[in-house]
Amino acid sequence: MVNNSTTRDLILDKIREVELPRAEHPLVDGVLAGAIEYADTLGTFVESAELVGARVHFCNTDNVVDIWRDVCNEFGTGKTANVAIRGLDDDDLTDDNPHSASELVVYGTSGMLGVAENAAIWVSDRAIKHRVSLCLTQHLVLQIDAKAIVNNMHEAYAKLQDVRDDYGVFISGPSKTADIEQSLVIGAHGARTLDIIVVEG
Amino acid sequence: MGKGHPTAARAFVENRERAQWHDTALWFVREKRDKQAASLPEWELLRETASSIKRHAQSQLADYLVQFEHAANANGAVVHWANTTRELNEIVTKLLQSVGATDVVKSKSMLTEECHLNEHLAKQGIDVVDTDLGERIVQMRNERPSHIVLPAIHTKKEEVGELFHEQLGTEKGATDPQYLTEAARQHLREKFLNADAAITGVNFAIAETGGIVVCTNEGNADIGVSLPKMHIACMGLEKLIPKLSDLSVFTRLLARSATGQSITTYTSHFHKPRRGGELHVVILNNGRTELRAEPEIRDALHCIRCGACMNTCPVYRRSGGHSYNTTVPGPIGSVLNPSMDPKQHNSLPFACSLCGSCSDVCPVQIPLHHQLLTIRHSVKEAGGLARSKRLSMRLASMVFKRPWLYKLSAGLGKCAVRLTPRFIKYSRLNVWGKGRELPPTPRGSFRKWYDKNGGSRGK
Amino acid sequence: MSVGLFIPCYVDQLYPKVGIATVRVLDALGVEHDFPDAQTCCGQPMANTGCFEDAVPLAQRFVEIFSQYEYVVAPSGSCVAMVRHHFDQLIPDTPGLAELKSKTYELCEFIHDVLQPESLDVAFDKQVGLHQSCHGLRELRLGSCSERMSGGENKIRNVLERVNGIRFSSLKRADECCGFGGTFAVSEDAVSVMMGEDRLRDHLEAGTEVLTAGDVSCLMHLEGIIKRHKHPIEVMHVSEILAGGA
Repeated sequence: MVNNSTTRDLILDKIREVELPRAEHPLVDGVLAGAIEYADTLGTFVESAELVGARVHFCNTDNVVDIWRDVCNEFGTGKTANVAIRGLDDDDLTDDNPHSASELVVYGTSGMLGVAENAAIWVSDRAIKHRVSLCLTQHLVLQIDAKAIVNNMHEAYAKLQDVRDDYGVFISGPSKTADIEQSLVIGAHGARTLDIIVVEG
Repeated sequence: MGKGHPTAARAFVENRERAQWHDTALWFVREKRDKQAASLPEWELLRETASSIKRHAQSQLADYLVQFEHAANANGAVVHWANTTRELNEIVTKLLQSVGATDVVKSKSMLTEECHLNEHLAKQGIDVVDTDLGERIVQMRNERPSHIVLPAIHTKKEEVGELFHEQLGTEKGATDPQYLTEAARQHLREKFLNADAAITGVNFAIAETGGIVVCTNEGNADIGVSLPKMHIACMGLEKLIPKLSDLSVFTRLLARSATGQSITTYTSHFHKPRRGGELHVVILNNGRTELRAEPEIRDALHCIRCGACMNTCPVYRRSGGHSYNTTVPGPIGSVLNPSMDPKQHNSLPFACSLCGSCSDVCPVQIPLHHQLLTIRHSVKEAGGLARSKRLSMRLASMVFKRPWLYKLSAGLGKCAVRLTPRFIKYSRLNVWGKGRELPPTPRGSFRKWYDKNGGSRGK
Repeated sequence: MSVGLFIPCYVDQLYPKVGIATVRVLDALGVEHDFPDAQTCCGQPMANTGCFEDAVPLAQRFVEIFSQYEYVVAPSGSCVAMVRHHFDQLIPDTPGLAELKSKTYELCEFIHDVLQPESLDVAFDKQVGLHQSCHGLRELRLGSCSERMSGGENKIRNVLERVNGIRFSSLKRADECCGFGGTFAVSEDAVSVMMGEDRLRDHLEAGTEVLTAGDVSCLMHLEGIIKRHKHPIEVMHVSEILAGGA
C-alpha cells in the first residue's frame, strides 16, 4: 500500500500548486444578518414539530414524571430507560455492550436546545450510556426547556460554538423514509415516534 | 465512447406512461423544494452565502485540510489520504481486515459508489449491506442508484413488493409502503446488530473542529456506526467547510433543496469515536485537484450533493438517472464526469436544453448550465464530437461569414424543401420530422421585405 | 434614437412575418430603425455545439456591424443572451463589446425598459398562453423564474398586458422548458419531443387559443408538434400580438 504521508503530501502539493483568486469568508462571527425570527418562537417550534410527526407536551418540572409514565404505558410493557431528564431520576442502561439498547421500547433524555424553524433538538452523548440508544429504541422521548428554544440554525450553532460533544445530533421528529414511490412512512430505522416534553418555568 | 445518453433516453421515453410517472414524481419533489424556499425571505441570501463560504474554503483548501487533520487527530480520529479510488478501496480493506470484519453496514455514500467499493470488498470476502432503504432496494435489484438522494426513485411499489416477496418473504402482491418499510426495518435491524464495522459518507467536514457531519432521515448512519467498534467515513476533499457556524447555512439549505424538508431527521456530528471504538476518515482526491485547476469548472466542487438539479432538470426527469451511465447523473454529473473523461462521457453535456433551471435551484449557485456549455467545448477539443457535427458547424460558419452565400444557400435550401415530396421529406433520415412538422419555407425573406418596405436609412 | 434591427437568421428566412411585425411595432412607437444587411448570424448554434472557434468570427462580425447604433433590438431572447452573456467567453477584450452589450435588447425588454409607452393601442381577444422562453427568463432575467425567490415583474407579460382585452392562460408549470434547446432538438429528439408535448398538454388543458413566446425557436418546435397532432392552437410571436395580431 502506498505510504500515506507521501499521498498526503502529493495531494496537498497538487492543491497548493494552483492558486485560486482571493475569496473572503462572508460571515462575521458566524452571524447571518436577516435570518428569520419568529414572533412566537415557541409556537413555531410546536408547529414545526407536529409537521415532522412529533408530539409535543407542555408541563412543569413536577409533572414530567406523569408524561413519561403515560408515554411508556402507551407503548406497552418492555424495557425503558432514561437519563438527564428534568424531574426524573436517571435510569439509563447499565450493560457496557451497546447491543443492550436493542431491547429498548422507550428511551428518554434531554436536549440542550430546540430550533423553531425545523423542530431540531440538539442531543449529545454527554450523559447517555450508549449513543445508539437514541436510534435503536422503538420510541424516543426528548425533554427540552421552553426557554432553550431558538429561532433558527444560526442561533443554534452560536450556542454550540464552544460546546465540544464527542457525538451530537440534531434530531427533528421520528425517523422516516419516502424511498418507496415517494410515500412518506414514519418510522424507518430509528425511533418510530418522538414525544417532546417542553418544560416551562 | 459509450452508447450515449440519447439511445438510453429514447428507450426511457418509449414507455411514455412510465416516463410520465417518473417526471411527475420528481417534479413533485421540486415543488416541495419551492415551498420551502418560499417560506424563507432570506433564501437567496442563504444561497449566496453558501456559495461564498465554499469559494473561500476552496481558495484555502490545503490549509483547511491540514487544520481538519490536526483537529481530527487530536479528537482521537485517524485521517487517511487517498489519491485514487483504488487507494481508497485498499485503505478501507486494510482497516476492515485489521478488525477481522466480514459483515459491514454502509449508509448512503456516493463517494463509495464512485470507488465501486462494494464490489472491491466483495472480492476480499467482505460483505457490505447498504442500509438506506432506497440503496438497499437497488442493491437487492443488483442495480446502481438512479438518483443521489432518492436512489430507487425509478422503481414502482409493485416492483419493490415483488422484490421483498422474493428476498425477504413478504406477502405476495403486497405494495403498501408502510408494510414494506416495516419488513425492511426488521431485515436491516438484524444486519445492524450483526455488523463488524460501519462505513458512512460525509456531508460536511469541519476544519475548525475536526468533526464530520452525516445527514439522514432514516437514522441508518447513526445506528450503523454506534454498534460495531469501527466507523470509516469516506469523503471527497471538497467537502471541507471552515467553521462550525458555517453549518448553520448549509443545514438550512441541504434538506430544503434535496427533499423539500426543513431539515433531515438526523444531522449527526461525529467528533470522537465512541468509547472503545475507532473513527477513521478517508479523504479522496480522484481528480478533484485537477477540476479545481479549471477556472470555468472549479465551482462544481461546491456541490453539496443535494440532487435539486436532477429534480428540476426536464431532461433528467424524462430519461432517468441510469441513462447517464455515471455514479452521479443529472446536470452536476454532466459537468463532473465529462471533465474527468470527455471521450467516455461525450454525450452528457449535450443531454441538456440549456434551460438554466439547474443553476437557479442549486443551493450553492453553481452556474451549471454555463459550465455545461464550456464542457461542450472541452469535449470537442478532446475529439469527443462527431466528425459530421464538427464539419457542419465549420461549414455553417463559413456560410454565415459571407452574406451573399448565406442568402443563396438559404434560398436554395428552402426551394429544395418545398419541392421535396412528403414521403422523402419525412423519411427516417429526418430526425426533426420524427415528432414534428418541419418549419415553414416561405419564399422571400425578411431582409428582402425590409429592403422594399422597411426603409433602410443610412447603410 | 437609432435602432439597429438584429433579426436572427431563421427568423429572416423562415419566419419573416415576425421581423415584419417587429418593424410595425417599432413604427407604431415612433422608433427610427435600420437593418444592416451585412448581418447573418450571432454564432449561437456553433457555440452551443462546443465549436467556439467557429462562432468567434461571427461574433466579431456582429460587433463590427452593430457598434454604430444607439440600440440593437432583436425579437429573440436567446440571441440577445448570446451577445450579452456569451460573447465575453468567445471574444474577450474586444473593443466595443462592453458598450454593445449594454445597448442590445430583446424587443419586449426594449419596450419595457427604454420606450415605456403609456399604451399600445391594439386589442387581442383570444386567450393567450405565454410560454416563458428559457434564455429570456433565466439569462436576461426578463421575469422572475419559479426557481428563485427574488420577485420582480415579468417584462414580456407586462408589455403584453397593455394590449386591450388580453387574457392569459394559467399553466400548471409556469416556466418549464419547451425542449427545443438548439441541436438538442435533433440529437435528443425523443426527450425534446416529449418535453414539447408535455408543454402543449398544459396549454390545451388551460384553454390556450394562441401560444406565444419571446423566442421563435421555441415556437418553431412547439408549432411543429401542434401541426403534427393537429392541436387547436394557433402560434404567434409576441411581436405579432403587439402589432395587432394581424
